[in-house]
Amino acid sequence: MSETDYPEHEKLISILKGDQSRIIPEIPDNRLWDHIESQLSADRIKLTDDNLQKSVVNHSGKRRALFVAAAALLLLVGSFVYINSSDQNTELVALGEFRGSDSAEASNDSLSVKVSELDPIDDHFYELWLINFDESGAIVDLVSLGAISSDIKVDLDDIDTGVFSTVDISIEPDDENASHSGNSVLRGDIL
Amino acid sequence: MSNTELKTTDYQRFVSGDERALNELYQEFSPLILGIGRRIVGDDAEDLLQTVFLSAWKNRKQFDPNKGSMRSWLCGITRYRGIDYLRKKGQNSSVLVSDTDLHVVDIRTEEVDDVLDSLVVHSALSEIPNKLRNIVELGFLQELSHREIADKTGLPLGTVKSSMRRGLALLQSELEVSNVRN
Repeated sequence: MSETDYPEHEKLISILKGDQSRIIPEIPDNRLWDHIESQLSADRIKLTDDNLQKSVVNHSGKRRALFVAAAALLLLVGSFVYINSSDQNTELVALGEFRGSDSAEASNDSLSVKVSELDPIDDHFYELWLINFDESGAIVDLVSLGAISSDIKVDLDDIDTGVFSTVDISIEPDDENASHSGNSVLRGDIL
Repeated sequence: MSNTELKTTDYQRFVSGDERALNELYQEFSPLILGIGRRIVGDDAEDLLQTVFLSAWKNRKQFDPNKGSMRSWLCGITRYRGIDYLRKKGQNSSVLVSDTDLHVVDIRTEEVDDVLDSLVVHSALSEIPNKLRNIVELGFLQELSHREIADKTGLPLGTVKSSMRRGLALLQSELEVSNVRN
């Protein structure tokens, strides 16, 4: 029997008739899983119900968030944020107490954010996120792309941008809590 | 496909974000992935192993058990992460600067493709139903005709042909899963 008997499986049959590759399984050092686990921990955002509530664009009743937002309002009005890529443009909108909007662009392999004015706030920093919401508006996944204080280009090689629908910039308190503060100030759809 | 692989419910746990399921996958497949990585990137295989499982985790929603096995899916990730590694190393290396050197990198990536294709197909062959595997092996390893297989196994000729097609289709789907970039 040959490839010509099943022309649609020509490559497969060629492989079958070739020499079988010898792969020697190798038990990895236990430390490798520890490294993976620590990386997962670094990326993990604990989405408690409280966090989910706060991550929705609704800051009412959150005294601290309002305070920070009010402070940031003064700093962000007139700021322009662009998310650049070769693939698409999208609009980035200021949230809640903030005003203004601007255009944005996104790509599959990198994310470039240009900030014309993003002034620092005492004991806080700005953080860039990708978020995915389900149809009900609940967050189902999010990943931090790190702090942002000025123009930035983020490599998205290891991130499946296809599952994220939104780019988000939040104000985060300078503490040990890696979770999203719920205090989003700028957001744009990338799908 | 493998009896030792996680059950469908466990795949669902993995896809839905249960890190314990990722650990179970790691326990099951890391020796294989590390062995493949050793063939592809040599001393950097442990780095590749970590990259593969982190990439699998981040892309877990793309895994579909109806399209192929977890083994082939992970092999596919290993294929492309390994090739990416070789290309980046070739581009970044101060040693590999000539067209000839870059050609060597291309040959290396082609070799990786061939090795992984062969691994996936032969691995999948060992796990498809015995009846189908027997017929495929008789046809393509012992190179018997349909009629000869029917005579040897006592199966009707039509059964031999349909079993051969089913067996090849199963193997083809595994090969295709391993060739999808995630």
